[in-house]
Amino acid sequence: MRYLSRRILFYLVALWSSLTINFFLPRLMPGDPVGAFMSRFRDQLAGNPHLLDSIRIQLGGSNAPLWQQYFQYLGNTARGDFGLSYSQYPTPVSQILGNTLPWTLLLAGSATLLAFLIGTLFGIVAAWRRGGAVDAIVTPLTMFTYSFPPFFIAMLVVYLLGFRAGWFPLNHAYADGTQISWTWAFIRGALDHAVLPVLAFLLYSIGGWLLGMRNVMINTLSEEYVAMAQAKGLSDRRVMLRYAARNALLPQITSFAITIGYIITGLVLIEDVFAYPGVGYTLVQAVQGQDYPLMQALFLLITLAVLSANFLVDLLYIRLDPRVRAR
Amino acid sequence: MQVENRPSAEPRQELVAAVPGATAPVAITPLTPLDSGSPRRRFGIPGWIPLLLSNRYALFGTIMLLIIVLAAIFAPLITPYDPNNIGEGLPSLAPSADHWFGTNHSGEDIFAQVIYGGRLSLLIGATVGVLGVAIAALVGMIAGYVGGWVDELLSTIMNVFLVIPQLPLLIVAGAYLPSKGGVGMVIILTLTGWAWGARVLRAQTLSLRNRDFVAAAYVSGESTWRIVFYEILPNMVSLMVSSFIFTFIGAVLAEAGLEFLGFGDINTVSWGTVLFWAEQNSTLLSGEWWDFVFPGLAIALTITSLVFINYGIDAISNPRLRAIKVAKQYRQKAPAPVVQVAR
Repeated sequence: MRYLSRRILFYLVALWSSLTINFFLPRLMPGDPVGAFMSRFRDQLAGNPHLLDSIRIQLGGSNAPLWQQYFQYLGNTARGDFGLSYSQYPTPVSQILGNTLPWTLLLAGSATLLAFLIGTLFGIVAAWRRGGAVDAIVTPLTMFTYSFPPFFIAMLVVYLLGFRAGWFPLNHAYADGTQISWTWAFIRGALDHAVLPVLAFLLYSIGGWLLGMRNVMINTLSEEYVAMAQAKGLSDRRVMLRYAARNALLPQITSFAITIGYIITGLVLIEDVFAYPGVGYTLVQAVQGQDYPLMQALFLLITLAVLSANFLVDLLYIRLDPRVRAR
Repeated sequence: MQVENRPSAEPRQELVAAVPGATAPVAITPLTPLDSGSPRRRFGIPGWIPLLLSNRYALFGTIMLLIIVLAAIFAPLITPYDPNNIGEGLPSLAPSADHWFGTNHSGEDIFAQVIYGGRLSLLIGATVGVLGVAIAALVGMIAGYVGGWVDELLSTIMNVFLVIPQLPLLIVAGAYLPSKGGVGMVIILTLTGWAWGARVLRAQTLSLRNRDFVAAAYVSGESTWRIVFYEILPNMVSLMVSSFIFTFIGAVLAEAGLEFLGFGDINTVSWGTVLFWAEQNSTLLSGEWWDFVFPGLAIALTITSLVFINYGIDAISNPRLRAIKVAKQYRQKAPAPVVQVAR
């Protein structure tokens, strides 16, 4: 339990740090985001300083002292109030977040799950039959694709399967002319559009799982209980999956925590190539449109997702490894 | 240097004879004085370079990286074209004898852009690598050696930096940064990229701190900074090189990613900006594959060469991995090399 409470304390510190970075970063840097946005309307509002002031306050600009603004910001964030978007004024930022999140969960969730399953499986086989067909072909290949920047993989996928072969749509998340709804036409279009981004994401992230599983599995295979299982005359399949792979899985789960940052990087860049309207693409759009409230909220959302994923892994780890519970 | 002072390693006969009741000559190795060594020799750079090159992966990686670096440095001697000059050829030419990698939408020569582009990408990567490792070594060694609440504090800071997703932080920080050029890029990449190395170096310091030679140095009255810089630091050179390579890889990828998104200085020529323009001009949808394949491969090959070098360093600094080579002669099924995973 001491382990868990230490972890929770750490996540709180991390959350507070990212909130503070989020608050002070724009205020430390030169320039005034609210002022820059207001200047777009300066001519229309020139004769009315009161209106100017009230819009300024509505946008989150404030003349209060910094510490007061800081606590106000923490309070607003806790209530999920991120203010109004600049680029899609006057839509509340929280509404935009709600629209982007499902797409990202669909893309990153399915791709990560597939990458974990396929990568781990290939890792098991590569380690089990070292130097065999899978190990000789797939392992070096993933080592090479593992060095590819994610956006480059995405561009190759778009070019080869989207443009050359013409099998799948090149970008966006659903078919033109369909409305977001639970109709078959929409769902089919959404799935069709998800194939290439998911594939790019899969190619990007599979290497880590495969190489990681292979490494641990090689170590596990030299353990005595594996030799013992073989000596007992158990079938190869049973020894491979129930004895060796099962124990090699634990480090895979811990490495998931490290992988999350890597997944987010890929998410932002791959979504950008496909103009896929998830969190990553929207973040890039927000920065390009100087939509600071949206950008800050997205950064916070991403950080929060990473922290919660880490926490879940911790919980899972405690559940799976009795040694941690003893600490 | 001190060879003449050292006792010979062979057992001395008079000692053997002096052992009471010794029926057979028993070899007694006299205690050799603690090897305080000269610090200059212990940094031992000439020693491990041939060792590094004896590893096939490392040799391959080093040659590949050398070619890339030399091509970037001597770019003007290799290509007659100016990477910034619109109209070096007709626009959108496929690769040919005149334009090895073809030309882009504005008629700029892509081969020239790729080899000139390496200059900025590699320079930023290497600078961030050096600065990042310097911070990592400083923070990691202080945390590991001093311990106590200092360690708690510094470790928490490292872990916070590790857990906050790097690319979004870079994007947000870059959005407020007044200058989009190389210096700004180096600063934000260094600030977000040092933590992993610091964690690794801290762990190593922690384990070295409890070794006998550090205790010996402490007992003989060496000052703390001398112990840290002359006793512990030389033993971490291979780890520092390895963290340098990891930071380098991270910086090259992050820089390319940021530039690809359009958050760098889009008027300079680097691998990331070439890819940015390739996407902006929708070369993906006009079939001009050469516009993005070559700069993309340049990044991929650079990263691959660095990963290979790192793999070689790992095999050298970790004797257990090196032992595999010897064991191979005796065992039918030699364990395959363990591939270092960079994340």
